Amino acid sequence: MKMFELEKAIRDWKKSLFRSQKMEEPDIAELESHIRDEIDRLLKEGLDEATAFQKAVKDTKSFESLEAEYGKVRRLRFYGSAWNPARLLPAFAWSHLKIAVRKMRKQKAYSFINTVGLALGMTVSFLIFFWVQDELGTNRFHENADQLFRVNKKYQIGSETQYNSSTPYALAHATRENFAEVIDATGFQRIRALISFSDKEDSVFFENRVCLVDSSFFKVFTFPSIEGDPEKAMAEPDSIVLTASTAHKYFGTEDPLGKTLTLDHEKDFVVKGVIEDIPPDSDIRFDLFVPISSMIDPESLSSWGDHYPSTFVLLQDSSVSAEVEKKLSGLIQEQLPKEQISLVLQPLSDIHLYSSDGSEEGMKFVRIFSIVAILILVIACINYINLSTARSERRAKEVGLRKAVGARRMQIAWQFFLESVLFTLIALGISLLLIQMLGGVFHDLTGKTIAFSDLNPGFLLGILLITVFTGLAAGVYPALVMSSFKPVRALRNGFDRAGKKASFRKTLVVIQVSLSIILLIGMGGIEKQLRYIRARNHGFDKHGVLFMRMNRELQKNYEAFRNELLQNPDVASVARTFQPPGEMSAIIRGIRWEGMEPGESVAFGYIPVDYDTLDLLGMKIVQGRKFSREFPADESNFILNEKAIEAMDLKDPIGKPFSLNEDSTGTIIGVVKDFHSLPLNFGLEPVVLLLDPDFYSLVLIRIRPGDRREAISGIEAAWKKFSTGFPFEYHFLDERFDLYYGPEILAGKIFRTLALIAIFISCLGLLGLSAFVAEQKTKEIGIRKTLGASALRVILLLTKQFFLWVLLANVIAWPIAYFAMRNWLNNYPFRTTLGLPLFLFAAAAALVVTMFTVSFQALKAALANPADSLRYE
Amino acid sequence: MIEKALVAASTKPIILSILIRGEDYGYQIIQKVKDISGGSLEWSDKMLYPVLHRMEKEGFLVSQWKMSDGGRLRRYYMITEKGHKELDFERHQWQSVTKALDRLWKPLPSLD
Repeated sequence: MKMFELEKAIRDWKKSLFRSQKMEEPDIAELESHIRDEIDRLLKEGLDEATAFQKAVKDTKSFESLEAEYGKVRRLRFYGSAWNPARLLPAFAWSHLKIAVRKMRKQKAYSFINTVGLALGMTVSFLIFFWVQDELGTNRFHENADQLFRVNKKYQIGSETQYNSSTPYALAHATRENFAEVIDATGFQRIRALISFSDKEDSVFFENRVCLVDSSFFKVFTFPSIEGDPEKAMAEPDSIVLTASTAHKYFGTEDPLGKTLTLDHEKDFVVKGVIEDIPPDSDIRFDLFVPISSMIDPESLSSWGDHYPSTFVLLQDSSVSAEVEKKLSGLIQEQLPKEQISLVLQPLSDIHLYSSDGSEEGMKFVRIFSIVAILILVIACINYINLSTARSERRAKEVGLRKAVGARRMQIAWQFFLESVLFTLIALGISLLLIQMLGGVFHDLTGKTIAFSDLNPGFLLGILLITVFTGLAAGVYPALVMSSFKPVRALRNGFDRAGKKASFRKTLVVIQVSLSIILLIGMGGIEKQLRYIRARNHGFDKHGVLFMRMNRELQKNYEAFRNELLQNPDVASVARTFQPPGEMSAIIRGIRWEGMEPGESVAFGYIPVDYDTLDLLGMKIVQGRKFSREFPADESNFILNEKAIEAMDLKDPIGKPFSLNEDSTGTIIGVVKDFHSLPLNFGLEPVVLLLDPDFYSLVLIRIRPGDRREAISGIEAAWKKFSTGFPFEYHFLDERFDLYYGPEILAGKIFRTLALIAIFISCLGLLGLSAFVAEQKTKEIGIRKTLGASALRVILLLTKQFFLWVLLANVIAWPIAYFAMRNWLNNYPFRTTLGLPLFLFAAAAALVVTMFTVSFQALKAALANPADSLRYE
Repeated sequence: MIEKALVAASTKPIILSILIRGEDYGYQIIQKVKDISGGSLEWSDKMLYPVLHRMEKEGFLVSQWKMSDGGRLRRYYMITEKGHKELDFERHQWQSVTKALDRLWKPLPSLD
């Protein structure tokens, strides 16, 4: 006869109960201790083990009846219905899921904090990931994208190497004809033009984005056509191609094909094609296209000396680019032997993020934001791990119980892991919602739109990976930690508080706070640099000045226009120049002066002014005089800036001869104090100022402080008198400057948003953590209070370790932030300093926010009734 | 055998009254009830534990697991503030009922 084994019988009995999905380990354990007590009693009365067992268990043997009793207490939702969801998942996974849901509902506050924290982290990462993807994919929509290269010019000025993308008119054609590796080449140039219509008197449009193209443009680039044949059209003189919205702007719903329009009141063009609007991810962006031969004379078109258009080449294969580069350089050196020019090819895919010399422009930001995205995700995961393991104190007993009842470590780990997965999925759902809601804000910040419909598989894969990574990272550690509690120890002592686990949590908190501090410092640094750039004195007064484009009529009537304006009390002065001051000017080489070394070459900014410009802009003359109507010779004279004098190494420049080229020579009559003729990130350059009426394309008007609107309407009235047929458009000089600092302004905004999000997530984590600490110290607090400790002392007790953690976080964060910011600022020749106040501010902010967050729990604990907390012992 | 409805109604006040004397675990509660009632109340585990859990859920009790020296895990129950109040309420009810019954049964000859 088989020996009756009591333990085995009990184990089997437990297993059968366990299979019932209404009873969980605590209930089973309770019943187990009950039947063991009963068995002990029956054994004392003299029964044998087998009978004692049978008797003890008789009430509980049939678990259907048990289910009925226990079932009345629990809320039945998943059982009893004909549709039994347990069949859809393996039974054990389903019950674990159910348990997970119930645990979540039980601890609503923690669940909420955890899930929100994760969701925020995921949302930010997704948005950044989307932005990065979009940036990297700019310009890639062209069919031949991989074979397209822009030709950049590399040239020497003195000892410096410069790059830009302005190439000779003749280059595209020559390249197309002479090199087998080049399938095609195209050159195009942007101009501004006035559009008018012979049959519509009042319709006049000023277009900024008109493109002069050759016949290869639409062959090389992919701009789908809607009507007509743009390719053919550009080979026919006097035809024009419009984008769809431009056509709509001019002609409404009428068919634009065959209609005529006039450019600059001079030349007529016939609409021969309409193309789709240029997609937002294209750097090549125009509204109208006109054959270059219709606007530029044949002599210029075949010249190698005029560098205006951009040239792109379509190679047979990207691997031949180095060869072609060499051949192109050879070509241009043949044509322009006196210049030291070579040509470099830049892949189309690079032009959005890298400048023509190959250095990183937008790419910098792509890198930075990718790192920030990862940082934020890390913070969110750290939060999750912290909060999960913080709750482990509570659940240690649960785990011990489970193990005592016989659950295996893997099962328990799996349970916790599933909980994490559940959280992550819910966080994913929330974050998708958030992305939808934040679409508008995202567009404001970045100019990009997220449309779920045209998300490519790459992006979706990215989202999936991020989610899985988050779920794993956040879930694995807590799962392993919590499932490893030893049952006896857990139940007896609470939980092994000392040692590794506590210090790991401390490390996580410190890391989180450090990251937030770094972001804060970064944000502060960027703002500081921006403020510095904006406030920096440009050397001329840019406030209160507006500028307008010159046109033919205005040119004729300029003096009368100016006199009329000067009658207006709101107008202070009127002058002319070539381009808005402070923007890139034309560069001129081939300048000669007295005492110049042979072979020496200095590049000058070329700034045409009139008699009134210097006064209007408030530029100071430090030597000599300014241009004056009293000196007719001034028409061939020059004013240089201090930097120019320095570069030429000229002593006593006043009166010395100076010439722009071989033909004309004039005299230096004055030296002007240095001013920023270029955007601040370029530094100062030597410039030459001269009276060159051919280049007066801009009218500057300084208005007196006061009501701008009144002044403008006065100016408009004068305009209408002297410049009919041209739309009245003006811009303010100071507003224009912000265009140059667009990337920095944007980066500042984005950094600010990200820093705030990181801090918010950290706060969530701190909230949970402080609750944990308060709970751990419940006993201690209770005792102290009964011994007479004040609420303040209790608060101090709870918060002092956070104070230390913040301090430590600062120690870590400051060096890292310092090096990162210094690195970034080195890109700017004019930069602000990273003063100590900035770091102190970040530290103080972190401290205040931490203490504020933590004090909620501390306060609650301090005010609680000590009797309650002691009762549990 | 006492009628089911009576047993059910008296479970709560009995449990609360036992726990007022100190914390206890399920098996022992059953023993005490058996002793106190002279055997007429024999609660089964099937009946007791669900009630204990329900009362805990309602906030009248709290439970804590303890390990005995012999290594046996037991779930101990303690009465709470709310439980005290509930007991007063129950006592009031029962005393009203028994007072009425006492008055009614007084003139009858002893029942035994």
